[in-house]
Amino acid sequence: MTSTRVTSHASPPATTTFHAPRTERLMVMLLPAPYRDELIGDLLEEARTVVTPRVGERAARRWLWGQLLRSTPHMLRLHLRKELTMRNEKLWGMVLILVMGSLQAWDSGVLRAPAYIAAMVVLAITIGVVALLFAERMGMRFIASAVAFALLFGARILSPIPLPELGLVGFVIVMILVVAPGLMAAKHSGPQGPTSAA
Amino acid sequence: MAKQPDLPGAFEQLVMLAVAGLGDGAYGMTVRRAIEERTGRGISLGAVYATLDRLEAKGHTTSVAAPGSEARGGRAKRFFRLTAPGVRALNEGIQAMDRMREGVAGIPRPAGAGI
Repeated sequence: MTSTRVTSHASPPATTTFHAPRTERLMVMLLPAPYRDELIGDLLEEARTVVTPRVGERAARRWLWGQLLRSTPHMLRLHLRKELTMRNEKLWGMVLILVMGSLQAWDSGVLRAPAYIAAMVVLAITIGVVALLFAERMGMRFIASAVAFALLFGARILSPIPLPELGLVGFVIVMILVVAPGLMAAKHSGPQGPTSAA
Repeated sequence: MAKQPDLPGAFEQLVMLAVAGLGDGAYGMTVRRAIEERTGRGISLGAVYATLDRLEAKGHTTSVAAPGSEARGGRAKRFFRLTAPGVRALNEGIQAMDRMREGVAGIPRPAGAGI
């Protein structure tokens, strides 16, 4: 969001004394932070200046409740989308650490087995296919593919680097963490949101 | 891989048209009311804000905050405006829809449509 502030934009004058303090408190509790203030302000303004003069206070309260109930899922989804993006970034940090650990495990010989190679090939192909299927733009999906292939081909190159021992558990965690963000990213930024959002 | 044109969806187009039509007065409430009045379809303000946020993330709109008035209980207001890429994307979306329905039986183009 751009943070520029404009100095004055007059709203229509308040033509009624409509007040809904309980609903307003509930809105503050229910609605997540992005656009909360703007949304509550818009609803109060419309209830006071448009809905109440037309249909009365009682109906305006019902209208406000209806708007709150119908708006909350959209606002929660918006909040989750922003949160997921942030979590993805944190997750990638963990992935990189665990990838390094798994490379060390490879070097120690624990994971230098055909099954490991096969798993990495399947993993890399899976992420590559997911990336290609959903890739309208490069982004997280490209990174997912890059990490998978780096894991596959970089293992031998980086193996002399001394890293903390993680072993098989580390490998399993790496598998989960490498696949999950790729899938999450694909789901998150795949085809755009619903076109009939109302 | 060639970049696909990012065509706005149907609801996104409605929101963008409302923002464009409202000019300097485009904020959540006015956008919602404009769509409701013109389409006769009841929509929630949450849907409008979710769409405006998505459009802003794509660079199709920008927004500025403004102080709230008495009618809003002093709560802040956010004005939206289409960007040049937003106008371009909206035009491309509308033209794509027009091309898709070209020659489709039973779905005529509106009078005066087209370039």
